[in-house]
Amino acid sequence: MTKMLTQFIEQENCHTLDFYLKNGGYNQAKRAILEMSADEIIEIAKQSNLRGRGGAGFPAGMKWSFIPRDIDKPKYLISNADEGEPGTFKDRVLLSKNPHQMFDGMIIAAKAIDCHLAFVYIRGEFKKEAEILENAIAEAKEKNILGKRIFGSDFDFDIVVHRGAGAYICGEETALIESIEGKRGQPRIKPPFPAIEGYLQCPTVVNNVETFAALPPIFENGAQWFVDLGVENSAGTKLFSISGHVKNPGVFEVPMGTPLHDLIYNDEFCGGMKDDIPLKSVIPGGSSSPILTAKEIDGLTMDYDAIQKAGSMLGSGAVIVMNETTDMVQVCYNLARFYAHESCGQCTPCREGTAWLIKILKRFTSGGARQEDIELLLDITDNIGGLVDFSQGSFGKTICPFGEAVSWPVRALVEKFLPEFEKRVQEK
Amino acid sequence: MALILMDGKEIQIENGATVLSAAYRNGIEIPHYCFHPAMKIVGSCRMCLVEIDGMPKLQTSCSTKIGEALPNRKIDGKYDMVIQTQSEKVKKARKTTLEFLLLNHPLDCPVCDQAGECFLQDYTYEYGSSHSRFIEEKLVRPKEDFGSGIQHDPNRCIMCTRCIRFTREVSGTKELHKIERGNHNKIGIFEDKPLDNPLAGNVTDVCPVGAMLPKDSLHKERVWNYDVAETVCGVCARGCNTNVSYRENQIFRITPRRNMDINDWWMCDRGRYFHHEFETKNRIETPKCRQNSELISVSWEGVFNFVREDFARVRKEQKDNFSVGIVASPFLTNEELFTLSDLAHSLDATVYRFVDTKIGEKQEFPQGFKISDDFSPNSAGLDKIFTNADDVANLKKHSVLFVPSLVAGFEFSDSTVEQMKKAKLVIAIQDEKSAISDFANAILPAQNFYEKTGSIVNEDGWIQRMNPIGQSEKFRYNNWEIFLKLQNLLVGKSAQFSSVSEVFSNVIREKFGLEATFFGLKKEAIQMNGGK
Ligand SMILES: Cc1cc2nc3c(=O)[nH]c(=O)nc-3n(C[C@H](O)[C@H](O)[C@H](O)COP(=O)(O)O)c2cc1C
Ligand code: SF4
Ligand code: SF4
Repeated sequence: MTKMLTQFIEQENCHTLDFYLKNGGYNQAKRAILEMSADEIIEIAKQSNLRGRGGAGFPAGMKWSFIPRDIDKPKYLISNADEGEPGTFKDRVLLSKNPHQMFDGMIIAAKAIDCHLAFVYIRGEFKKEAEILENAIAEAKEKNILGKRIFGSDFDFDIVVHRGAGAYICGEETALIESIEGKRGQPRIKPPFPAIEGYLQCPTVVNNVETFAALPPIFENGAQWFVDLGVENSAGTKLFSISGHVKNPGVFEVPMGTPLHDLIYNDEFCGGMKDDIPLKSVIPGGSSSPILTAKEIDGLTMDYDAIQKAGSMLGSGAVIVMNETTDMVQVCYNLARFYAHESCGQCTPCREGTAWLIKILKRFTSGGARQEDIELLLDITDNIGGLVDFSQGSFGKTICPFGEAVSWPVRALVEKFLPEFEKRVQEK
Repeated sequence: MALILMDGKEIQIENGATVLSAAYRNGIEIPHYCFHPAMKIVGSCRMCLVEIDGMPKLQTSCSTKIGEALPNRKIDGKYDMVIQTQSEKVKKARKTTLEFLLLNHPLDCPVCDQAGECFLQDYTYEYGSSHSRFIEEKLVRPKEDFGSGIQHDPNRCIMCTRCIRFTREVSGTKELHKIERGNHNKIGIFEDKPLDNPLAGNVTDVCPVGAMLPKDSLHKERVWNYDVAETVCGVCARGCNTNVSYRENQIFRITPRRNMDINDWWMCDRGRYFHHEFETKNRIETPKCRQNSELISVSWEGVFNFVREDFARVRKEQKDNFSVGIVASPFLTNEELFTLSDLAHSLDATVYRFVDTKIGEKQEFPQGFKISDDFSPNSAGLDKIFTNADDVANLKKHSVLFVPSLVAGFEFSDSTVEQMKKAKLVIAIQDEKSAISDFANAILPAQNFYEKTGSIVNEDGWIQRMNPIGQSEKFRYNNWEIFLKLQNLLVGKSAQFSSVSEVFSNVIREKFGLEATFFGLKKEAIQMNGGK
């Protein structure tokens, strides 16, 4: 099976520049800088149909094309390495094992938007990974891959590593930008979008670590090669972080469209359910994506369209597998508690609603739940995040998608596992 | 121009206007908290959500701009945007946002000073629900003293962040911050950096609820008991427009009134709390005259008789040496100065002016709000009305002196006082006891600047109207009437003005060369030099 991001991660010193160069590294960055125009780069990115790997799946080439050309403000590029979504741990693998491939992609993107200073915003807890990045930057500078006049061109390009302080919300791109600016990390109201007014009110592109890392292979093998790797509307390979009740959890790189069943049960991947207890449900795309029941994942393939059709999202590719012993009420409480703790607090519905949700859910886990609490839970999720209707878009009532990110999973859990919630009411 | 349809009403509006402003300019109310026209739009309270055709999500009307749609994208072939502010979706969003806001709110309106002018009360009444589905325990946090006389109540706070943005964008001092996250969000200061700026009091006005209250008036009165005088602050030459809230002649608070030419939405703390300077026990309540070196209270008739007789006596005694001096001050209104100038003219008096009022520091804030270095309200009017008055420092010896009162914080220099003492007859027109009272022969009680009606000219030449808190019985005469009365008394004739409006029209015509009515001034300030 073709791998393009993680094929070397088992090898010694795979994170070093020497290793990366020996395997053809930075050839594409060099080609982009020396031989390609911005338009050519954007065209290839568009043709490859590379969609953002951070969660929303927005086409990368399209995002770059929104950057205005005819203004004299500097443009900025940011790699989003905040990786805070519960269940997601795939960027960490790239950061620690293959940092140069991300830089390689960042240089290509920099050429596309005429950017000379970029940031990697890395989650605070990734201290070791931040050190690896710092070392990798130092190595690259020595070889004229980063710094002034890179690859002997007249193009300057630098990367600065910025460590976050442990807030999930700082993964949202505008909160991330506020944070880099030294402010409290909370999302901005859009428009204006970062492509017009981002870092320091200048045009800015934010992409996920994996999105950048996918670029060098695309430029090496061609857009069509990448499209052919995947399925319709979902090109290339994707990293899946699989956790939960499986024998062998971990990060796996597979082509888009791979059956979820294979990922869970094949020995090549997770090797089946732990202790062979049957599967009950799966969160397919990180904690923000609505949960799917065993029945709903029957025959499910891991690509944008298929998961959306099943009523959830591919998100960041974080698959959380739960077996039959799992208490879904506890899962719901756990999830809601995470969101209540991480809400930045600016929007009234999210600030107040998340805290209210956990107070009600606490009654379900610890006694005292009332029949009307079920209706109330559903209504609150509607009042924060709106009803889930993927055909019409989202109806969230907040500044950033965090409102939906808490409402949808809670709603899905209550609706799909209603008997478990009702049982708690009867137990008192 | 764009054509929009809002709640079925066709509205023409310029491109770039927000939905919220289009609504307000057309008489449609959209409730909102975090939006304030002076501040950056954050769109966080979620109260102003409206439904816009073609957008599945409700949109914040404060941040959504209206623009012309492409010809083939127009709705019904002509509308650039179709907006509903009253749809079921919108109503539910409003109602539930209010429910969220009240979850942890103490509902202590009966003991909250904001009650009666609180947007949480008003919107809940209009758009909210009368019962709560929240049965859990509320978050309770202690009140905090933020400095500059401001008390913060985190339990009442709705986290609109107007106060924070005020200190960042308007005062530029950045003392307030949001601390903690999520539901534990609160407004805070750093330990060693309390609210400390000349505009701090404005945070109590921008706060839409009772979470920022001035300790100065805390629990003293309910807002619905206030009478309000729309007037102009007389504490510096800026002349910020204000509302003075009072009851039975007692001032409880002063708050700014919007005027985009002069003070935007703001005023400084000196002006806000200056009324306390007038709460001394030194008020001159009745006319007084000096008999056998002692001041005794007399009636108005008594004091006028005294002045007339003594003036005649001194004139007789002094013969060729007789001279009259009059001190004019920029604490007087144009109308007072005008009748004073008439008096001076008819007595052939030498006029002096009190000039040392530039004792402040010129201050300008990030958005352009200014505090003048001139701590008097009407230097510009004085300059116009008395074109060649001498500095009072050069006061000569005169037989008779007329001295109006200065304002708290100002005094005549010792040498000027010594020189004044040399006069045979000193007639003081005063609201409070001062150094002059110790030797004045006659004292006529005057109105202070919260009590008088008249016009003043600010440092940029704006002529504005001062309006009094309720007319008190104790003032038989307006200050300008006293000057007329004195003129009549001593010369036998004077102009016949029956109202301050009449004096205004005359002074404005004769001294400023303008035609204007005092009534018109109530609505709008006018520019002394025409135009801006
Ligand atoms: C609450 C929240 C948290 C997010 N956290 C992350 C994150 O940790 N990493 C990430 O790449 N994107 C995250 N995103 C998505 C980013 O806002 C943004 O869409 C993404 O970085 C864009 O990159 P992409 O187009 O390459 O996916 C988050 C979004 C939200 C609303
Ligand atoms: S939805 Fe929640 S996390 Fe997002 S901006 Fe609003 S309060 Fe902050
Ligand atoms: S104190 Fe008042 S102005 Fe400040 S955030 Fe709270 S409610 Fe808004």
